Amino acid sequence: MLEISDVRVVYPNGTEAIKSVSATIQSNEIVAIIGRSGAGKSTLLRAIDGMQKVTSGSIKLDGTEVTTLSGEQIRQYWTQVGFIWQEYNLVLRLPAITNVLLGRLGHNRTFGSYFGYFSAEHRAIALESLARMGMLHRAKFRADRLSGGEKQRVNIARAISQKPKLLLADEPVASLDPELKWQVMDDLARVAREEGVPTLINIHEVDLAKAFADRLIGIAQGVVVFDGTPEELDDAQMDAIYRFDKPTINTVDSPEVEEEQIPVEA
Amino acid sequence: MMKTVSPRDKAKVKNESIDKIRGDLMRPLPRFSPKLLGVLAIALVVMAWSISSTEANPQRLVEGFPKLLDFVLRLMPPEFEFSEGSERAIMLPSFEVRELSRTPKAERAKKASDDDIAEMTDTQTVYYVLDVASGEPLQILTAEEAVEINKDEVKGIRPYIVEAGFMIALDDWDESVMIVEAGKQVVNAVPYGEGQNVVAKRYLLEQGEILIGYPTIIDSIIETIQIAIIGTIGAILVSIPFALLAARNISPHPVVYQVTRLFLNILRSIPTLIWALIMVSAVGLGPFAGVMALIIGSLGSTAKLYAESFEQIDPAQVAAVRATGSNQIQVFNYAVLPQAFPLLATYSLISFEHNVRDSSILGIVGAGGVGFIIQKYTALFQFQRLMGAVIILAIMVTIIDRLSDQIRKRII
Repeated sequence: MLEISDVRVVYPNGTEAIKSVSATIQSNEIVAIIGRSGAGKSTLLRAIDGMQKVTSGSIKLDGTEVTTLSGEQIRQYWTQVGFIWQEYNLVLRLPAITNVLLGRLGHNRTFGSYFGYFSAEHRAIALESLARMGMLHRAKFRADRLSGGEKQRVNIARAISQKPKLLLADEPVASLDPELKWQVMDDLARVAREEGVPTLINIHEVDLAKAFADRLIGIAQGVVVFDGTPEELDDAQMDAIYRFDKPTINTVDSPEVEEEQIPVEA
Repeated sequence: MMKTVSPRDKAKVKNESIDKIRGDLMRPLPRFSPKLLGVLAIALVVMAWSISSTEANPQRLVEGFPKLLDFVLRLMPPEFEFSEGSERAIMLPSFEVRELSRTPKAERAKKASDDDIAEMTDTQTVYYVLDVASGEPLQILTAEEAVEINKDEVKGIRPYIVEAGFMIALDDWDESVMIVEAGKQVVNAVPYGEGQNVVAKRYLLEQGEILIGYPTIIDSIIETIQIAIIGTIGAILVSIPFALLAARNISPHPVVYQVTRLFLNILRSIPTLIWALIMVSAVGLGPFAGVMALIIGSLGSTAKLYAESFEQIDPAQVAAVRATGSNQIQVFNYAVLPQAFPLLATYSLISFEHNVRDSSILGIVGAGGVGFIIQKYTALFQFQRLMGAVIILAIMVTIIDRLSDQIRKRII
């Protein structure tokens, strides 16, 4: 269970990325975080991962306070958090299987682990992770030879090979084509349910979010403006998330407005 | 990732309208702004100032050209000094190689007197050696040819008597006259100095054989390459820790970064030859001094290039590995090293090629390698041998460069 309460993040340059965010995410729950670019979605995810220091508030994973961790403790925490990156961030010159084994590094501090040796136990976990993402046939390929969708699947395999207690995905399908978005999101949602861990997915595509998430959290200008099931998300809520600073186009339902009379400026 | 826009860029964006930017980009020629003219003027002044001190003068080059030509002529033809005892006779085109005995079985011929010629038997023949003038090569004449020579016009003509099946042969080097079996030839190995004596080795070859040996310079070139290999490996090992401290994204603290960079700059500013001098005084004459000089001499540049390689890696890949909970060493081995590897390999090979060239002059101060021989030839004014040595050195350096190109292609 992930408990976020009243988290506030202010960057050193004074920008207030997150004003106040509170949410409780149960295990076995997939939560999509939606919002405009710059709304604070990525910052929230990075704060949960401990990569971004929070100014105030608390984040607890299974009762452990995350925001105060440092040094060896945060490394220990990171071994339990699978992070899925938008740009995959695979180590391009290493083969896919080694990239997945990177997820085991935190659990494996033997002498061999420093020089590329992983015991059979770790290799079995990595291969199983690849198999679950249907990428076993690419195990020996160098990461830079994989296509975008394949890279993202390897990225997800790396995250689940950590045997995580929390999955965080930052725009996992933003760099993929429309068809692949659905396939990769499908795979991601499937393994997240299999793992049964709290899963947070930052996502732009609302239809994808509605299709795969149990719950949506809408963030605008650093505050939660929507928190509910996909069914509860209506146009008014969408406007609050995405068009809070614009005249409400969607709610105007009189197409007979005299457009000719509006002076057009050059 | 946050994108940062410098204040200067912001100002540019504000002041320039879209039309102006488009207009600027569509201009056929760049605009000569006062700033650009100023930069050009400064460049010209710097060039003029540099020329004034280096006394660069095309006219003097033209006037000096004949001297240059003269020097080049003294280098020709190239001559290869052979290593003692390495000579073999080789039969072309079958490439049959024959060991040569150290003492050639050619007898020195005795000059015949008039009485001897008068008492010649039927099996004997007389040949004459004609010395036209000092500096001219000797010639061998038959009796019939010798009759036509006017003895007053030449420096000397000497008769030699040989048995049937034998012939006289000349040694070009010391002009001695030999008796050899018919069909054999006398060939000299390139003479070499041994203490105060000059040793000239003379061999008897079958018809069609040529004398080969391997030039002494090859031994020194091999030593040079060995020095370069060990020097480069040593420099690589020592460079990596320094490179880590001198890479902005890896260095533990900005002060450490600055201090390491400063240290490397100091190392780099001292030429390898100076390090060789220092090392010769520390560990004595010989190749080990050369190895140490190369390690320290190339540390400055190698560590800097490695640091640049580490700085050019993609930080996102490093962040991803760190986010799995890996510790520092694991992050370095799995995220930093694989990314930096192609550049590290390239720079190591370049460093090796550079070290081969560097180590060929280390011998000048007695730190081993080919430099010693080159210096010897220069000091003794043996320019033809110098040319021979330089040719072989150039061939070897070319081969090494090609090899390292191949290695580079393989690993990247």
